[in-house]
Amino acid sequence: MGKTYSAYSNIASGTTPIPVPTGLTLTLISGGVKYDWTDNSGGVAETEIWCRNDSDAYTTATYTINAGIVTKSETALAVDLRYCKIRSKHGTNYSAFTAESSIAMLSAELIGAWATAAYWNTEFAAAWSADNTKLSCNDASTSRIRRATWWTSGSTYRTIVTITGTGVFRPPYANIANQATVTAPGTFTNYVIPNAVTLCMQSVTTFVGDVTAVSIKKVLMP
Amino acid sequence: MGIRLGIGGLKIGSGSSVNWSWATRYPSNVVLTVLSSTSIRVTHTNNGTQDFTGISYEISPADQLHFTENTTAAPGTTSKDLTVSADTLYYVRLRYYKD
Repeated sequence: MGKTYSAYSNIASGTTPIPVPTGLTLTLISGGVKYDWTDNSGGVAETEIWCRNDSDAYTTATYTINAGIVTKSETALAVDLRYCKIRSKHGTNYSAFTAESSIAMLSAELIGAWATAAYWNTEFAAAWSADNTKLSCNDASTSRIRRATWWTSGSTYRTIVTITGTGVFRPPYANIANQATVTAPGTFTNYVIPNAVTLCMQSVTTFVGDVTAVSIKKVLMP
Repeated sequence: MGIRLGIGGLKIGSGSSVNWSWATRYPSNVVLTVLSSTSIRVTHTNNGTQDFTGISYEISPADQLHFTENTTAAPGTTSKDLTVSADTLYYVRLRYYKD
C-alpha cells in the first residue's frame, strides 16, 4: 500500500544566486592595478569589476570579464585611491558584491623608486641605486636620506618606510630629532609629510648597524 | 461532465492514492525564501495536522513540470531549509501524505 496524499499547495518560486567571488586582491603595477580573484561559479559566470576613485561613487561596471578568466589589469590611472568590488554575472542572475578593496595609486615617478630596493652602505655615502634624481643620500656626514619633492604642492601623503638590516633609526620627517626610533629591520609607517618638507631618515647615534635595503612607499592620505 | 468524487479516496496508478477527505486540508501560503546560493527556506501554513504522517516537499528546477520529492518533514513543520544548487530557478510545492 503506497502513500495517500492531500492536494498540492500553491507553488512558490525563487532563484538562487551565483556564489560570490572571493579573494579579490589589488596589486600595484606600473601605472595601474592588477585585479585577481577566485571564481566560485564553476567557470560559468562572467565577472563584473566595479571601481571608483576616492572622490567618486560607483555608477556602472568598469569591466565585464568573460567566464573562466580571473585576472584583469588596467593602466593609465590617475594618482588617487582606487576602490573596487566585483560580482559574478550569469545571464540576468548576479551574485552579491564582494567587500570593497582599495589600493593607492602612485605617481609614475615613484613606482620605480620604492619598488626597487636601494642599497645603502654602512657609511651612508653611497647614492641610492634606484634613481639618484628621485632619492638620494646626499648628506653622508649626518647620515640622512633626503627627498624634498615627492609630493604635489597642497597635498599630503603618508609614507611607509621599511628598512632592512640592523641599526636604530629615526623616521622620515621634518624634525627627525623629536621622532620615535625604530630598530632595523622595521617599518616607519603612517607618517604625514607636510607639504614641501624634506624627507629624512637619520641614524640615532653613531651608526652601528648595517642597512642593506630601504623601500619607501608614498600613498595618498585616505 | 465532471468526475464524481466518492468518500474514502481515489486510487491513482499503483500504490498511490489521493485522500479526498483532505481536499480542503493541504499546505497553503507556501513561500520560498533564498537564503544563499545553495540554500532555500520553504515556509507554509498547516491546515490541520491530523490524519497525515508527514509533509512532502517537491521542487522543480527551471519549470513547473518536473517536480520531484526533495525531502519530507514531520507533521507540524512550518519551515524547512533545503540544500539546492546555485544559480538556479526553483519551484516548490508541498502536500501532506499518509503512509
